Amino acid sequence: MIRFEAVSKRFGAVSAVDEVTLDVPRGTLCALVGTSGSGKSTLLRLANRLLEADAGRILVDGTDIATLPPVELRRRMGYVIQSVGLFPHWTVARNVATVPTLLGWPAARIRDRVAELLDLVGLPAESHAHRYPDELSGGQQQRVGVARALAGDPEVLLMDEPFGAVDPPTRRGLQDSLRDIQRRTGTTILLVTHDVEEAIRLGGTFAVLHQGRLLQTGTPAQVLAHPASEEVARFFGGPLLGLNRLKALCVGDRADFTAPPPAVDGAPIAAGATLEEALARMVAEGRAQLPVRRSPDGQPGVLTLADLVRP
Amino acid sequence: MAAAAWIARRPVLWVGAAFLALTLNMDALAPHLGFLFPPGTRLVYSRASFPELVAAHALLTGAASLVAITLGIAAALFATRPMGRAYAGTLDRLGALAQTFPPVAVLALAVPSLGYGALPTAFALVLYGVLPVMGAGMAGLRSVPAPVLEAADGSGFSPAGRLWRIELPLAAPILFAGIRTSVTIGIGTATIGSTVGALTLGSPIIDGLSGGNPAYVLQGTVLVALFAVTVDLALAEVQRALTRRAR
Ligand SMILES: Nc1ncnc2c1ncn2[C@@H]1O[C@H](COP(=O)(O)OP(=O)(O)O)[C@@H](O)[C@H]1O
Ligand SMILES: [Mg+2]
Repeated sequence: MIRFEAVSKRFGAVSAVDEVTLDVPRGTLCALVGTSGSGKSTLLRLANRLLEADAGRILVDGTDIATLPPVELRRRMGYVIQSVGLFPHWTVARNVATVPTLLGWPAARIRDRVAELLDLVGLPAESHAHRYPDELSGGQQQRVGVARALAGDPEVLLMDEPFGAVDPPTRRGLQDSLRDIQRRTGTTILLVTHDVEEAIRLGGTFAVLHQGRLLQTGTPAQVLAHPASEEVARFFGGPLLGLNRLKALCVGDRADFTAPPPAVDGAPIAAGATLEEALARMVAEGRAQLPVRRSPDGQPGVLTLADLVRP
Repeated sequence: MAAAAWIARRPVLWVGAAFLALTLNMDALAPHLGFLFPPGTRLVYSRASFPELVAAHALLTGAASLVAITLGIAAALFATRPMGRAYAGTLDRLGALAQTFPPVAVLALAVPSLGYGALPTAFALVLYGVLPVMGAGMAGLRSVPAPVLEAADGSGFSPAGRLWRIELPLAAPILFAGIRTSVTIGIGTATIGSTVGALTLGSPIIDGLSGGNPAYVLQGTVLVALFAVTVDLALAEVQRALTRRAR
């Protein structure tokens, strides 16, 4: 859906993006991760032509974006930035209605869409639609920012650290609803984050950037199991990389469901829980094994400490 | 009661009423002011009636302000667009430089090329009026936060759409403060135009000063002051409404 082909961008002597080739298939989520200054935001801003590439080309749905009028391209792509940038003189409803209005949707359709999106991001329209941005908390503003980016039914969503200003529990809620939205609408998402846990939680693939170069792509489990270089390993926690690996794998990947299940004490853990959670329970409960229940069929199983450290 | 409170909170209404009443009745009032001045002072200004003077003064400053506001906004827009950003510093410095130039000097320099009367005065008024508008326009447009502009571009506003729907409404309160300054200064500066023959409320003042008639000076001064204060207060009302709406 969105494809970078040997894309480069320099700012004076700084090579912000250096021959990046990356393919994000339709309906998937790609998390751009990397240390600060590694070129993540620049790559995102090249995709909606807020910046023009010096070399290489970017294809959206097979079309070179250099051949598309920037304004039309941007209306097809939702854009969320960390500093949100809500329009301070407009109500929440009008902010969310921005792109549908630019696209010339009929008023009734815009109204319905705004209400739907505000509900989706957990800000009921009745109590929030007519507020102004300065009457919202930082987290609420970020949610409005996400709703605004989604309003025009974009095929592609570009998100630059969209949940930075939200407290951790709310952030997890927003990450879950973003994943739901993505599954339901099939939107292709390119998301910048420096939070490893967030990237794992949102699923999809990692693209690891360092000094403008793309070091590695792959699922969280792949990248964490086989970091391609020293820099990648360092970014994912250095000596603590193993702990991040536990976050990227779930109980069902390692548990033994072959009958007959041995008798194990304790409440069963869900097969969808992360291995990190399983380890935490083992530590807290002082056991080296946990009973497991697989969710649709209720199949019982067992997870041992040895399963966690299996390569 | 509520209506009375509403009026009491708007001094423009009673200052304006005083200005209007005095303008219309100055010729009737003047003969009774003899006790204020040395005996034998002529009390009624005869070159033009006060309503005529006010109309001429308003027309001159109004026309000059319209031109100045248009030019000032155009310059501010130019200096904040990509194509004109390179000239922004020059315009800033030019504005600062021109402001140090006294209005009388501008008038004196304009007379040889434009002759006497309203034209050199209008020229000086435009020159002085442009600068506060341009400065405030640039300040207002630059005050729009960078993330707001990035979000506007990222949402797919055209450059004109972004300017009209996002930048100008957010710049409006600051821009309008500049317009208010420009118009108020213009009303005062226009009086000096009477030194080069323009008919304004400055005419009785200048004639009074040169002919040793304090009654004319007082009448002209009071009306000019009331005129400037009325317009300033009226513009303050507009500014308040703008600020409230722009939030
Ligand atoms: N507009 C710009 N002008 C000059 N340098 C820039 C600009 N934007 C980014 N850079 C530089 O490009 C590099 C990558 O920046 P960025 O893409 O913002 O990194 P990240 O989002 O990963 O933190 C940095 O060295 C940054 O200083
Ligand atoms: Mg960044």
